[in-house]
Amino acid sequence: MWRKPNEAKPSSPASNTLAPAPMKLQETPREVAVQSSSVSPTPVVAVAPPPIAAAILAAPAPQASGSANGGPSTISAGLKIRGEITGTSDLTIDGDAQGKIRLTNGCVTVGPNGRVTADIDARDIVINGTVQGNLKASGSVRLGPSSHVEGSVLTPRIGIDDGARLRGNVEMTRLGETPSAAPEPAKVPAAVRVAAASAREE
Amino acid sequence: MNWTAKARAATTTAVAAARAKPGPVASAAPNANVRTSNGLKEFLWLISDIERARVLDLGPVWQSTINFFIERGYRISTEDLLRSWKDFLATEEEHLRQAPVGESGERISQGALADKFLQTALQYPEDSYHGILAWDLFDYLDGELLPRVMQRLYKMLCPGGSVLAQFHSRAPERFHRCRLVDKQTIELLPAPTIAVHARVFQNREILDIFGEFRTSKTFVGRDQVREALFLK
Repeated sequence: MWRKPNEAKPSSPASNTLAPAPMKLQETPREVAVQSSSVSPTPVVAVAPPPIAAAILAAPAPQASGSANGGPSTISAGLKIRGEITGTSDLTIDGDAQGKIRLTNGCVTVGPNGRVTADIDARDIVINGTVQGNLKASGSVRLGPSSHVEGSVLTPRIGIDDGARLRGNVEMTRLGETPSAAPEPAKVPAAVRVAAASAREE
Repeated sequence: MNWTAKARAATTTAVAAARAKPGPVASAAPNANVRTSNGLKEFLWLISDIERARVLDLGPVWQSTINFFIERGYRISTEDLLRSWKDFLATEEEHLRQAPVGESGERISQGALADKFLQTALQYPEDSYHGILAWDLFDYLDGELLPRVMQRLYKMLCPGGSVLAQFHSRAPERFHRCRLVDKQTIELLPAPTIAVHARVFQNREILDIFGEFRTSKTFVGRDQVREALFLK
């Protein structure tokens, strides 16, 4: 009587699971310099061996979910990335990343070992590591129990687990709306930037 | 604006009359981990007239606290000052331990440590917040750090802004963090001790450390925890 009609089992989660990544980078520690040139209009100039460049430059075609392109790209523990990362697929960071991360249609996950010094602009953002920079998401932001964020959060939905650390302010936008506020220069401490931005809005 | 002025203004508008000034709630919460906070009610009443008021919570970030303020249209910032202070001291200690013998051998005073800490903490422009929540904070701060923090908080507050603080009348049995449940209730969550209870403040001492502030109001709960609300 109480049994529910047989329903099709939900398929494996599409975008947020970390499926085995075919483009997973090598585990050996190395530093990859991805510098954005001030002369060239294209933001990313990858000076790296082909497999790494492919991972950084993300997926070729825009998809609703980045995992449809074959799983998220991964910056593994021990890797350091410097520069601007753009694209549409999902990205998992378990190493060090500095610069700017912009995956407007993808999910950025910072793993427990991840250390990011960059503004992150993505559809969904999941933080379990350390981030110094502003988080802008058109979908949602989740701060895990081991997360430590210094910067502002701009998103329509936010999830904060007990134990998360946030130094900065939280502002909500409408779902699907692309936050328009430009991130502040990185030289100023995050807390100062957050407050200064708030004051300017007044 | 002080309490009298605000109450007078509230009677002149229908909107303000709808959310009349809250009176004290006598009953204590039945659950031991939840306490009724008359100070919080008063604090919220004070900022209720300000459109998109900016609030700074100096405790850990909690989903419920964020939701509470966001849903009411406020802008909320958080900075866990005690945790930052603990991390700072740990880092300094590590530096000293790793320094070669004979180098940097001079003792760093508590005052110098406090100054160094505040070079990175509480970095906000003047008049940037309308309200500051500081539960379980001042009791735990070092004697040198406390006056410096008070000075900084005073500058950060807008004119007419308020600070809600909490003081224990006796040393608490264990360390708690506070989470906002609703507009008059906070939840005390037992937490690993990140700071030792430094001292019990007498009423006169509390007034002294908030000496720059214009007016104050104190609420004493059945659990002998004093909540103090100070206006700039």
